[in-house]
Amino acid sequence: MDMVLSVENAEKYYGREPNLKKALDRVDFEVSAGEFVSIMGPSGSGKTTLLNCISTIDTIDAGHIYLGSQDLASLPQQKSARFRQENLGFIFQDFNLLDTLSIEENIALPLAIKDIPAKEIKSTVRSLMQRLGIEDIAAKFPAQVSGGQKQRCACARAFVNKPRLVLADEPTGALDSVSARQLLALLTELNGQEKATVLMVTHDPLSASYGNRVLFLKDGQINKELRRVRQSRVDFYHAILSEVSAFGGAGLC
Amino acid sequence: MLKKLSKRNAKRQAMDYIIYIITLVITVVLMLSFNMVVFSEEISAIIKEPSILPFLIVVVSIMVVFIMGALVNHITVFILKRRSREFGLYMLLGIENEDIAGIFLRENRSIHGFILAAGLFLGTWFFQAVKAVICGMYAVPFSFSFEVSAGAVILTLFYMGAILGISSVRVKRAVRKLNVRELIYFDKAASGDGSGEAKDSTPMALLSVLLGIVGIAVMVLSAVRNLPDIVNVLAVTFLVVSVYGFFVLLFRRLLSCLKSDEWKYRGSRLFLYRQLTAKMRSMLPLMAGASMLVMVALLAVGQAICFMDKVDSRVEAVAFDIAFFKDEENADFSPYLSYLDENHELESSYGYSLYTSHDDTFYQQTKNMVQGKMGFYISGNDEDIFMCISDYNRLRDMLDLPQVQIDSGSYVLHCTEPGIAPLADYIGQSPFLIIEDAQYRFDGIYSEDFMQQESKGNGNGVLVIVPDRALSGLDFHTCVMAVDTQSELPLSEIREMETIGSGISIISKTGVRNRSASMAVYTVFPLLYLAFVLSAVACTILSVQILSEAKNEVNSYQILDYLGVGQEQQKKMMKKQVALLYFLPVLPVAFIDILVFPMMTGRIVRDAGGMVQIISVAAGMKQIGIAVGLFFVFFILYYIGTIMLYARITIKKR
Repeated sequence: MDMVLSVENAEKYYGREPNLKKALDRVDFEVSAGEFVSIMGPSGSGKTTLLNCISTIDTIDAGHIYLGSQDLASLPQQKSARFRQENLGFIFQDFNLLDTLSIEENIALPLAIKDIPAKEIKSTVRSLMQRLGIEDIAAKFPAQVSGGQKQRCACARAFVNKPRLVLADEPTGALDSVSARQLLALLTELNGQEKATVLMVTHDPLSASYGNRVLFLKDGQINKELRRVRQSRVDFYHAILSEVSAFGGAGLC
Repeated sequence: MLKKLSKRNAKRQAMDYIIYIITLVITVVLMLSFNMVVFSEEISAIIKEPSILPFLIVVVSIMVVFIMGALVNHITVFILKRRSREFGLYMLLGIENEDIAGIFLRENRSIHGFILAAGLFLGTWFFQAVKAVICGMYAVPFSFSFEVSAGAVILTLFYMGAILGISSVRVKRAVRKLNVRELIYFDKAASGDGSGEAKDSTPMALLSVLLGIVGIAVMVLSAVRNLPDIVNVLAVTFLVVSVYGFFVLLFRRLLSCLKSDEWKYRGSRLFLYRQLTAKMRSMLPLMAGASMLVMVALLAVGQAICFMDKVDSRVEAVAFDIAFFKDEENADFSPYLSYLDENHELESSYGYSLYTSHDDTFYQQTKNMVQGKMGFYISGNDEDIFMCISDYNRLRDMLDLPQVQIDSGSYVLHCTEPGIAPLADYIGQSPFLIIEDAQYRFDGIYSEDFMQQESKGNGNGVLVIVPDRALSGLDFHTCVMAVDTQSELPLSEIREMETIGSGISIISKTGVRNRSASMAVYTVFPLLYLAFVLSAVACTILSVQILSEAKNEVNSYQILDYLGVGQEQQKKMMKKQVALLYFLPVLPVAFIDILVFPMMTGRIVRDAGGMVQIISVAAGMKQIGIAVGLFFVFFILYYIGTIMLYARITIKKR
């Protein structure tokens, strides 16, 4: 299978001596095309730092991060925006929708920025909204819809561009349990049908159980990896729970 | 502890509302320097005559107190709304309402103290610039002499006390009445999301646009038919109101554009115009208000510049340095010439007589045309005035103008520029002039400056020049002595000469300059004072509103960052967005002003009484060009300040 993401001995430091903090410590892992990988870890373990470095918002101090054949460490700052535009999709905990744009326009924005013809934008967005069950709220604004609907919209916006990698940062953090399950089911569906690669940061074992693989991050290092092999989602969830307990339990939340 | 909190908050606020603070400093600077004009002995010595300028400046200052009072009140309530959560938290922590009001007022007092100190300091320096302009208008050499007038400072402090004091009292009352729940949810209730459907204000918008059309039509009609001033005031009011309609219609047009996929899905257009309409929804009354202020300011600047321009052109039109008039044949002007000779001023002089046919044919042509189009009239005599060709050529010689030759059967006309067209029309129909059965053929028309625009002169706007022998058929009108001096005479000498004899009228460049300059100073200074304050208020309202929203937009730009919009493109989008918000209020104003200004200028010239210079439409357009230019520089400075602060908040802080 094609390798989408390859993180090789990535290191990241914050602050200066004597208060130097190592946020990422020789992180090393790979993600193949079509995979749904979760990263779990307690607060301050380096999850968000890792996500920011992969998303080109931040840079590593040592090692390499390859997205396809592109080494992100050598990607010039002025080219990083276009790189994100063409290769990455984002889903955030607090949705990050533009309040001034309607649901449909929020989804269409990445395509409009790329100067895709209006007709093509319209048909792509419409079909995606239909699949996500949000076509009836197309003309509404974010403030007029529920959290679950907002996150579906954010999800559609992340996938509309057909990115090589979708990065999700605690996507269920602001949702109730029903909406969270619906969103995770949707992510799994898009991952399966669109063959979209998803890398999700979460502290929630249930959310992580929807993926094929879980990486446990502690003190900036990948501490453990769990793979879901011919397991039901419930069994995988229990396996994650056990690992979390062994890992230090409450620290994750 | 609370004092420390106030001090820290004042520092933080100062950065957030720097543009508002600058505007208040500018207001203090203008107030002080114009008050110093009233109190300055140096200026009184230049103006000399009893002046209505102090009265006018006081009137404008009172208007400024009301305008600035409204601004301070608006901004203070605005700050209160933005900080409601913080004050709610203080209340939750058990701080009394009284103490919270104290914190807020202490912060404001520190900022106001700084504003007054900076304004008073800069105002004393700015006064030197105002003094230089007045010296320039009166052709008096400017000398820098630093002065501080206690009266001016006290008056300025009184005005500023009224502006800031009333607002403080209102804030104190408002904070006393607030409760924790209100404060904590204040900003939520006030901000909204800008996504609801707008109320249907189309009928109101159409009505105000209709008012605009009526306003313009009335202005045009007024220029042609010479309607009363009250009609013009009404027309300007209609135009000001119509600005609101422009914004409502523009807003609705943008909303309808955003319904079209073809239109909105093009580059950054979707983001830009959705941001704009979201802001316009809440800013519509503010933008319309700013636009109305800009319009009044622009008209004021335009008229002020027009008056300044008139001083020099009116002096030039006098042509001779000094001229003496007496309605008596062979009048003796020798005492005056001796006086000038004794004072080593006399360079050349020429005495001549003016004649009349007791007819007013030529005068009526000019008068009818001018009154019809510009509402212009000349006080003084209303008969056709004649001069013989030999006198005319001697006078032209004094003015270094080329000689004019006519044969014994011809005549020429000398008129002010606006008279050329109607006189040419008339002559096309009646080319011959008859004096005592003799017929004279028209042979040309001249329009150089020739002392034809004052209460006494070589005809009121038009002079008929005939062969010397034709004078026998005309009656004597006035005896004139035209004099050129080595330099422009001081006003004191003119005053002395006025006491030499009786029945003599004196027209001089110095006298005209003095009268015109006084009139211009009375008009220009209060108008400019008002215009700058209005412009500053409009800019401040826009800037504070835009900058206050900038903090909310950090997130929007962050999202664009994730979606792959580069920093450079974001900066471009940001500049476009702020420019649209900032310059939209100027758009309808520019349009209306270009239509209205030339007509208004025409009326002002008539209303000024002695200022009988006609301004053509082209001249009016030149004036508005300068006015818009001046105003644009002022506006652009505020815009640059706003965009820099906006960028600092939305991009650099990320």
